[in-house]
Amino acid sequence: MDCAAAREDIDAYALGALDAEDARALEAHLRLCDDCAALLDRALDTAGAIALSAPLVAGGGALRARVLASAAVGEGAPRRPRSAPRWWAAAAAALIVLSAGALTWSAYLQRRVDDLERANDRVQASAAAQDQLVEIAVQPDAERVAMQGAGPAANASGGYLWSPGREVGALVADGLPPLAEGQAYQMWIVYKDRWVSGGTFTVDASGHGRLVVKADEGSAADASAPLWFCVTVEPSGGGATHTGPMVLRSPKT
Amino acid sequence: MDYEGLRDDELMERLSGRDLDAFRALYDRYGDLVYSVSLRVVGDTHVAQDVTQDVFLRVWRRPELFDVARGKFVTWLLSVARNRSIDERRSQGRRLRHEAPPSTEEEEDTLASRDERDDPAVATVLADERRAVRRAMDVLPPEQRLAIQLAYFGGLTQQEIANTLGQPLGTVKTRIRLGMQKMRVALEERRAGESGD
Repeated sequence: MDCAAAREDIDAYALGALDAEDARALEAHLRLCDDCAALLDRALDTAGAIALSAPLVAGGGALRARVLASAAVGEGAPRRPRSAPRWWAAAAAALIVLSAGALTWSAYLQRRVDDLERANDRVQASAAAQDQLVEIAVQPDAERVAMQGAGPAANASGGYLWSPGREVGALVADGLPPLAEGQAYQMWIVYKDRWVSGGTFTVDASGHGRLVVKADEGSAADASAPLWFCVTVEPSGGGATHTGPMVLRSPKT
Repeated sequence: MDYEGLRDDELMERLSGRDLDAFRALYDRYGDLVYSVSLRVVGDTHVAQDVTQDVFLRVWRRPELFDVARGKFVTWLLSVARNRSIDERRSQGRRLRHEAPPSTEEEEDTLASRDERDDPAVATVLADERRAVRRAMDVLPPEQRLAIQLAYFGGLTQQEIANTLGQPLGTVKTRIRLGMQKMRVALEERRAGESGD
């Protein structure tokens, strides 16, 4: 690896985002190149600062007491026992496995749909849009599907990610054309016998748009797994059925 | 002894002598920050508490792991917290896929914790630095900010980010590189301004 190639990768390395092979190649170069090593120090400094962008949350007195007590006795205080899975949770896990690669607003969620709507409202109220999306993406059970441009937006691209555990999903779209006045993009979750709206969104000047998708009565009540996802152009506010051209779609599952 | 008046490296020196008061001062200074970073990564209050405990116990048991010549203590500490959190999240992910999604109680607890964000009682910790970093991130184009956040807080590789966003790998690499360059310029200009005051 030469300096030019190394400098392409240094920032990603500082973020821990290089794959193992590229990281090894960069490390070999850094051992021999002081200039690039100095650039890495600056990149690590920048990456380290990103931690400070996390919303500040108080750990609380109980955590403080636990940490100080564990240091005082020289041993870690016992970590909390993991809760035993309930029968419905185990069933839900089975559903998640069966429908891997597809949105799993499974039947067990129906009983909790009211809680779910309240929870999603709180999530949306508590963080900016980008924070919501990252929160979904970093969930341990996050699932993802890529979407490709279609029709008048052949160069568009995007992805849909969702957390069955959190019961919320998010769409990210890029390269979508600007909308005429009175129009919006509408996302659809397509089942065997019907299309369920995931909500509407617009895009910025660069064609970038995002949508946080809440599980609603319609999708939660459908025990079957969706077949695919897409985005169409619709009147502002969206509609109950799709009428406009499709601009983004996932493969059929 | 006025521990609150001691610098971080001075407190760390005292940890080598098993000074519990110095440890308490460090926790009071950075405990909420470590917890916040962990919570941002793992998204679960109980797991974040476990990680916070592990991180500070590591500092208590192995203070020599911090090398003052390599930079600021808080940068090192939060890096340890972030890496430990990502390890725990990956471990949690494996358990979730083999066992079950989180219980209702755990979800409600986690969601409730989000209402505590920017708690006034803890908002003064490194307030200027935190504000500067958030400002530097806020001015990034959203696609660059998202790629950086997915890498740092999500622990995703560039290829995983590309898969997540449905974007070519080269596009994600460019977004990360440009976003980091802009952040670096903004943060270094701020520091230069401070040193010139």
